[in-house]
Amino acid sequence: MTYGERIRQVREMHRMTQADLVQEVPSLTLSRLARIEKDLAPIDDESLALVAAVTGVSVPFFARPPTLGFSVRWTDAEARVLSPRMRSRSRLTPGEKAAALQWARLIDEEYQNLRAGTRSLPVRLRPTPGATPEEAAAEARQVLGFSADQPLPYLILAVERVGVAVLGLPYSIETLDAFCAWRRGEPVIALLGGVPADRVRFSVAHEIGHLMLHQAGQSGPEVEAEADRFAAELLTPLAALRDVMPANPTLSALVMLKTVWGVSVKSLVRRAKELGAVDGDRALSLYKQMSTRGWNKREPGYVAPEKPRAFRKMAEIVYGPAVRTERFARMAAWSEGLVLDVLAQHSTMDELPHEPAPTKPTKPIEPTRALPSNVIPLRVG
Amino acid sequence: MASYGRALSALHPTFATVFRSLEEGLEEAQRYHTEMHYRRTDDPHLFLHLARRRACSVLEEAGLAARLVDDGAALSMSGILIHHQGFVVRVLHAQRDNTGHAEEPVPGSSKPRQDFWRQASAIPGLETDNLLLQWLDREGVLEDSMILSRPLAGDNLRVNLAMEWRGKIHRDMATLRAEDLLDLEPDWRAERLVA
Repeated sequence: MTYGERIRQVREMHRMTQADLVQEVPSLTLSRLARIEKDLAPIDDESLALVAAVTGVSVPFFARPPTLGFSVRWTDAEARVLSPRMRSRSRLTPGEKAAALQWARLIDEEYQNLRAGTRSLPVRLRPTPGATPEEAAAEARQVLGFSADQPLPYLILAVERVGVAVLGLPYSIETLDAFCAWRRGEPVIALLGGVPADRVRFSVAHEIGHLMLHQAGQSGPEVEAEADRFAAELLTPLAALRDVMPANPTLSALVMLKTVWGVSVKSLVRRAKELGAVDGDRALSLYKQMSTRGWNKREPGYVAPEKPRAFRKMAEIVYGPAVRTERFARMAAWSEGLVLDVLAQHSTMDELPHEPAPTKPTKPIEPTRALPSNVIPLRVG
Repeated sequence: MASYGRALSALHPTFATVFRSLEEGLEEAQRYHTEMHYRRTDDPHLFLHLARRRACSVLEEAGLAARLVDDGAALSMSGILIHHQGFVVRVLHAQRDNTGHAEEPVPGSSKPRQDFWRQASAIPGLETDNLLLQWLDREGVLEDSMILSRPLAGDNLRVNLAMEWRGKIHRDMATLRAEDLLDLEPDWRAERLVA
């Protein structure tokens, strides 16, 4: 049996209208495709093979019973998607939103299939109803295993360790970075591709804020502002930042702080203002300088890129350490290209983040070579 | 005060880009000289300036906080500054001594350079760890190892130069994991008084 819902899913994933798909598959007509998607008419094998080829899956994919997963239709959604993290909410079109949710649904289904063959981590991230964003951020740091004042050396890996399913989508749009949901008591975060490293961290922190602070269906500017406050406090706790923020920070100082704390310079300017290190006029001046230097498009300061790991790790367990992509593709009913694209959104062993060791106390050291020294030896006795 | 291993570990993400940027810089400088029928020996400063300028662009394009030291000067001679994780790294072209080895760079009489050498903060209001990264080329080809060192003091006299440690950075280090570099020992480090 072929499920029309599956055809609609892959079509929406690629942001194709029914007319777009009909153009790619000439044996279909618009009205027939509409009926096929509603399971009111069958589809012939040749057309189905063509749909599969166009959308990056294999024919057996269409015979898989669809899950409710990340449905765009909010009422019947198994997992109601909390307010997605957006750069510009008003510009996010329904088509873009549907595509993101359908990609997440596709990858989440495979995530769950892979997990059936492995042991999953217990969920340790809990909602904190009634807590302020700052209180929730402090608790999140504790749960994630970080001290109250250290810069987070990595975030996504820590989030996965506390049982959050983080999905990397091979899909990128200007208007959306990430979104999250509780699925049967399990938190899920979906990350879109093509987002700069500092913004990925902020988006993940923002989504954790939603997961901890908000109920399903809650949305609006206040909810977004709370999640932003949470994210800022999680990544750059004010108490810790107070010790390192210069009295009158320059852009150079903020760029250096960016490389240490892994957040954008703009976010640091906001924190500097909250700390009283800069006033409104100075903050405005810094924003103008950033704009003049073209930093609104690309900020200097390296932040290590982070990707989720768990999906690839489970694939390595199930399909071998090098991931037999051909077999993976057959089992998932995806094309091999799609498997490679999805795996590329997830971290390999070599791409895992590095946690800097704490600076060790200086110990007296022995000279390693008899080269000229800058210290005169002390002769005792 | 960072050890050699800690500096390597923190700067690890920049290694591949730094090597690539200097290679591209040297290539650009060579191309310009060839097109103009210039010989490098006629104006070695121009050659290096061109190389540095291109290298700096590559570093910036890769998202690193990098700039030419004397930004705005007609011909910046002092290298590239990279800001990363509390480190300020001055990337310099090394001069060779009589034996062909890289000479340790002295700050000269410039006050800002002397301040950098004696580990004064390179960014107002922030504590920084100031390091020198020297690179060498042979006939326009970047040599595989660079030299990372931590200066402590210096002026225009070589005898007054003080360094804490000095060690190599190899291109291959970019392919290792950052934590594997933590325990590496420098080629040389200064003796310290033992209590």
